[in-house]
Amino acid sequence: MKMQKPPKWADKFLAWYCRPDLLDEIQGDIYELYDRKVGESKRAANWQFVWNVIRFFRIKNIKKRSSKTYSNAITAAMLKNNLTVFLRSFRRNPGHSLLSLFGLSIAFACTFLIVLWVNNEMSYDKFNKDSENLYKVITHIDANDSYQTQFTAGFNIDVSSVPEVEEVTHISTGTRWPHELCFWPETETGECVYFSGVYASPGLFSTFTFPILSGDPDPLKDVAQIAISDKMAKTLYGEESPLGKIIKIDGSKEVSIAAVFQDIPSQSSIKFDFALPFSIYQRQTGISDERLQSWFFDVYLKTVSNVDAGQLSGKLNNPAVIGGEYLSKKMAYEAVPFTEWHLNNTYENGKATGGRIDYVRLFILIALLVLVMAVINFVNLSTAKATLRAKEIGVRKAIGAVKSSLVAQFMSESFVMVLAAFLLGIGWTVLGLPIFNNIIGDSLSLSLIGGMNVVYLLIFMVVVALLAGLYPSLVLSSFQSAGILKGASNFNGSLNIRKVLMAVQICLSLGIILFSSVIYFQLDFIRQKNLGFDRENMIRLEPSYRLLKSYDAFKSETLRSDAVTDMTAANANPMVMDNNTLAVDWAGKSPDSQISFQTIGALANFSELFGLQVLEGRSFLAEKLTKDSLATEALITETAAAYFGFENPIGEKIRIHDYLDCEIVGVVNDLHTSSLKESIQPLIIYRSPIEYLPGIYIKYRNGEAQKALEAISVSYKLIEPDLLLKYWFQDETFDNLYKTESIASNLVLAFSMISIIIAIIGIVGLATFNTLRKTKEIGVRRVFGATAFESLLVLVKEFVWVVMIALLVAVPVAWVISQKWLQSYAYRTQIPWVTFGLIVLAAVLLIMGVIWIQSQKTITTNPTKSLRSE
Amino acid sequence: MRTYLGELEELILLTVGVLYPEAYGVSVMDEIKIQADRSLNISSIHSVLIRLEEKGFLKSHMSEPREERGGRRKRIFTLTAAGKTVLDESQALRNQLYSMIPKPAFEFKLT
Repeated sequence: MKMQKPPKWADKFLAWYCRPDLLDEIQGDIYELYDRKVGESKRAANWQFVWNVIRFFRIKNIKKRSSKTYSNAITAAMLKNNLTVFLRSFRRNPGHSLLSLFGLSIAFACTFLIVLWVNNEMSYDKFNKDSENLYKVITHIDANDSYQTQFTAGFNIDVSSVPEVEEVTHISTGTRWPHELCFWPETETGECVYFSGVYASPGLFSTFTFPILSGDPDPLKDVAQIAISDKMAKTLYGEESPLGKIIKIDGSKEVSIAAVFQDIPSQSSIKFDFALPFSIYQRQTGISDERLQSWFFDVYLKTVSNVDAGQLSGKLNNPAVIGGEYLSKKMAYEAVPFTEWHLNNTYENGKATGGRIDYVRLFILIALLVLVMAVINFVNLSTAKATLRAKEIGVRKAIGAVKSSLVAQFMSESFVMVLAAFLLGIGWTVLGLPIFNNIIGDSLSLSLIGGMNVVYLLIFMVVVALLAGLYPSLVLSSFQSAGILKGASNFNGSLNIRKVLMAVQICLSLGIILFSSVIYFQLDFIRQKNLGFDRENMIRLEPSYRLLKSYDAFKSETLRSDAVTDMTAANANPMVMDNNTLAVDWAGKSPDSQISFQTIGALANFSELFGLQVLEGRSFLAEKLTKDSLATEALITETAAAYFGFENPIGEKIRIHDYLDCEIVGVVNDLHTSSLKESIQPLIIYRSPIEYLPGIYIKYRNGEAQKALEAISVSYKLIEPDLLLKYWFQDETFDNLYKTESIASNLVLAFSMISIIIAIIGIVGLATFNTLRKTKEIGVRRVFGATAFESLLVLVKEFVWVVMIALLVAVPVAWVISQKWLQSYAYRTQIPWVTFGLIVLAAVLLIMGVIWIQSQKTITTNPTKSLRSE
Repeated sequence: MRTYLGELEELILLTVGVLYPEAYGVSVMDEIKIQADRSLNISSIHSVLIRLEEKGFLKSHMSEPREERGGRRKRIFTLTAAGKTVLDESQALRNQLYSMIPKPAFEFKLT
């Protein structure tokens, strides 16, 4: 009778785990029980067998990995020997090792820099105590099927019915008057110094952690007091204590210095050098208490802990909080966690759509890709090199090295290399940090890496070392010693993997280059884009009240210079408009219409100076000429005309802010009044007296900026001898609009360069190795009459497929990602296919060139020499 | 240091003695089933046997391969002198304690 067999897998499992010295008896016992039971029922016997195998799976019965029959413990002597061998092979073939060391260290440096930057970005506003309890209130306005989002909230927000909110702080921020003010130093010697500050409710210093160094801990009580930063105190008063001193705002309103606070950290979203109470704001702007209530400012809430942002937002939209008036205007508040604000502050149609976080993600991805490329290089070069060291492995194996000790050898080599690259990478980082800071316009320092980050970096290094060392050590240690020593080397398996890795690498670097070219073209497109108005050769300055009063004198004085051609004044810069208003009324407006218009008050020659095209009607005349003698003249843009829906807009009346009656005299072309990420907004330009126009725009002849500035400052000094002239070039302001983008494009460009370098290193390494491997083949071919070119083809052939596949993957992927990125712009360039083609061609030529240079030596060597060597 | 015997250890040690010279895992398991009516898993028996051998109460040698065991050998256990001593001691202790129980303690009356 044939013996019944128990389940094979269970038996195998038992044999696998069981200690060899116990296996016999345990297996015997289970078999015996099985044999006894199998007569009754095979099923039951099988179950019992499996059950017993499982029951025997005990710590005592499990095989010990370090068997006592031979010792492969990693001894100090062995490590020392490994190091010696490593150094010898390094010395014998320094080119290869240096190449992979260089590539890896550059990738490390890239990673470090990006980690520094990301760390910095992530730490924004987290210095505040209980920062997770801080919320910013923003407003969504339902404007006919689409949402507009403003990052402010009403001054009249009343949170007394929300118990979770401990404190509400209003802050009025801005970049111009009355937030940027000029202060005279104590010594009164000449010129004033500009500082920018905020007007805030008393909670500013208790809600946020801006430590007060000296003076009143609550300086913003409702009196004429000011709190100034340490820097401002030092600038104005030197080492002297400024407390209690009287300082003049705008040279007239007197406030006393109540406190000095520590300079605001650079990782704060709210930055200011002085803080004033809202009562001063009212005196500055002349608004009543009542009107202040209806204004919108930055609003921050401090809550008790563990508040859900969604629930808090819900409570803010309670009529008792937001007020019935805003509710009926279809406005809604949202509370956004303040610590997330810095990275997620882009809203589209009422939904958060990211912001800087996109760049943070992009750069983390790039760091990973660069690192992957460098690790691939490392793996490729070390496996390639190791095939040249096959004999060493063969000998080691023949004299009794086991697989694990070989793995340990290659792993320790990998660790040494990675450690060296790590240290070198830190060196590069230190060297590169100033340049990096320059590009991103920030001041990062290595000190950001401290505490736990050191541990993370070490873990990261170990992981990289393991990844880089694992594959080579497994491949190399599994070489068959007999085969190697006989000279029959067959490494085709690992060669294929190298090719795959190389394809991945070319693919990555090509993808990064293509993508960065798209970013570059888009930014160029924006720079070249016609905004609808001129921005070249124009200087903006912000006049004092005295200057506005004597505008005509200033103008005629300045225009005496040949360099200056014309000047005008307006109450907003058409490049960065923020004067949105819903309060525009016209005949035939539907009652629930919520269209937000932008408005500019300007002098008569505004449209001429900014080069607007009048499409219908006329532009402003020097003398007002309206049908209704009380109405103001107004120009509207095409988009605005479409919103109004007048059959013939000329002569129609509109009313702005409930008091300003305008008569439309002309229609002009559309203007891009904000970032090109946003679509065109309707705009109304109305004529306004000079007193209400805090911005003077001066046009100068091309290339004569310096002369124009001299003329301006001379005539400025005539009117304001004490004040420092402050001016901006319009095109610089424009560049600032796209600062994040241009920083990002510079960085992407820099990293794509690095990825090219790493890819070239990889190709050089592999080409060298390939050439070495084919030396004999080429020798034989040359003997039989192959030309140098034909021999080159033999070498190139190896790479053709690799490059082809990489191209086929990289181009579509880069295309998709670029499209996605371009989606965030309302106005975008076409994908530059010609450039794509050129880049791909250049990449192919570069790869072939590298192979050609590498193989040149082998091909030109006399074949007799290469064939004789052995 | 004295080594104490667990209840199961003592039972298995006794059984090994009973089964001499054919005491191995399966036979011990069967004997305990017959004598004490206790169903134990072979792996428990095995680990106790190994433990007793480590304590020095048992010694073992391998038998010839057997067909019903798929050609595997048995590990035959026999008592050592130390094993006998520990059994004697435990036996003596029990007897001593038993004899010291006063008579009235055994008189189970309804109270």
